[in-house]
Amino acid sequence: MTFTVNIVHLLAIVCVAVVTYLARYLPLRYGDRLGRSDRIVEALRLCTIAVITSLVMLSVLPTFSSFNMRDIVPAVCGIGVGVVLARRMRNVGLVALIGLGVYILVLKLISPLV
Amino acid sequence: MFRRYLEGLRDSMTVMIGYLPVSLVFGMTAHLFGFNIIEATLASALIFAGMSQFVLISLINVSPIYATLLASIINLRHLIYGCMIVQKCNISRRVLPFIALGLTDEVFVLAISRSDVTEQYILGLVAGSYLSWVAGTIVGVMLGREASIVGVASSLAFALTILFVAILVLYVKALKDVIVVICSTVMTVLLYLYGLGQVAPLVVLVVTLLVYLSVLGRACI
Repeated sequence: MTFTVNIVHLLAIVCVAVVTYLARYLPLRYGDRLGRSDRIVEALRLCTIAVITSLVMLSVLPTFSSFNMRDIVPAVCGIGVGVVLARRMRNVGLVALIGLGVYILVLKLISPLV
Repeated sequence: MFRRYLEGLRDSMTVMIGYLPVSLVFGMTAHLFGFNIIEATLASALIFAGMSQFVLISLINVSPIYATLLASIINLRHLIYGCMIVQKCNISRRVLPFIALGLTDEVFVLAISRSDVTEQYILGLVAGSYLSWVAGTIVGVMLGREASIVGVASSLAFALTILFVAILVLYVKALKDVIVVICSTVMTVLLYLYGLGQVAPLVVLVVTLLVYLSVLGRACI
């Protein structure tokens, strides 16, 4: 296990940490002087949905554009289980672990066949 | 006063149960993307915001500046949380730095849902959830290291995809959410096909913000 710190990683972590901390600290400190805009809240919520959608697509597009059944079938199974479970369970971490288990299982099962 | 802290700590159990698997997955994927145990632990201890941490580790090897920018923008939604919390309870300067460190989506939802919320209660919530997140990350990195030894490390990256899908399923509730998903999908696919996939999250973010503020925000569909 390495214990040397990558300076680029460290700088990125510190930058995100400072922005995140200020985004939490400043409203707690001065928030009582400001009003709240429902429009901004909704805009930020929709932006989060847009970014997550984009990240999902970027992670599955290389798999699906390969047209390789050995990659596509486990991915479809894993995502399918993830969608079904996410609608029933609120614990996204558990959903991710179960979906990952299904993905690995199908990958192992399908490898000798394809 | 200490009783309210313990009450918050007890209520943080639900957050802890939710955080442990996510932080385990974060630790494992962080290891996969080249973060060692110190860097992954620092990310969880200093940032303490799941979604942006995942975005940071998955894009940092493509472009550190872009990854930092996107991860930071995602966390700007926390600006709203503090404004809403201070309207429900007074927070003294003594505990404010600690509460600011741990005001995540889940802590905010739990805190805002109570009519009798106090700073000690929020402090209890923050303590439980923060410790479980950091501990889960450390264990996750160690598990990730073992997983790479048995050769399943590349499969672990897929956990991130399922995690994003699960979060998306929870987020999408109204018709406008579905419209955003469809438009973002189309834009991302087009950008990917033209070799601009890595800037897609930033492009969809800016387009969504501009379209919402100029059109949808007034129409309120």
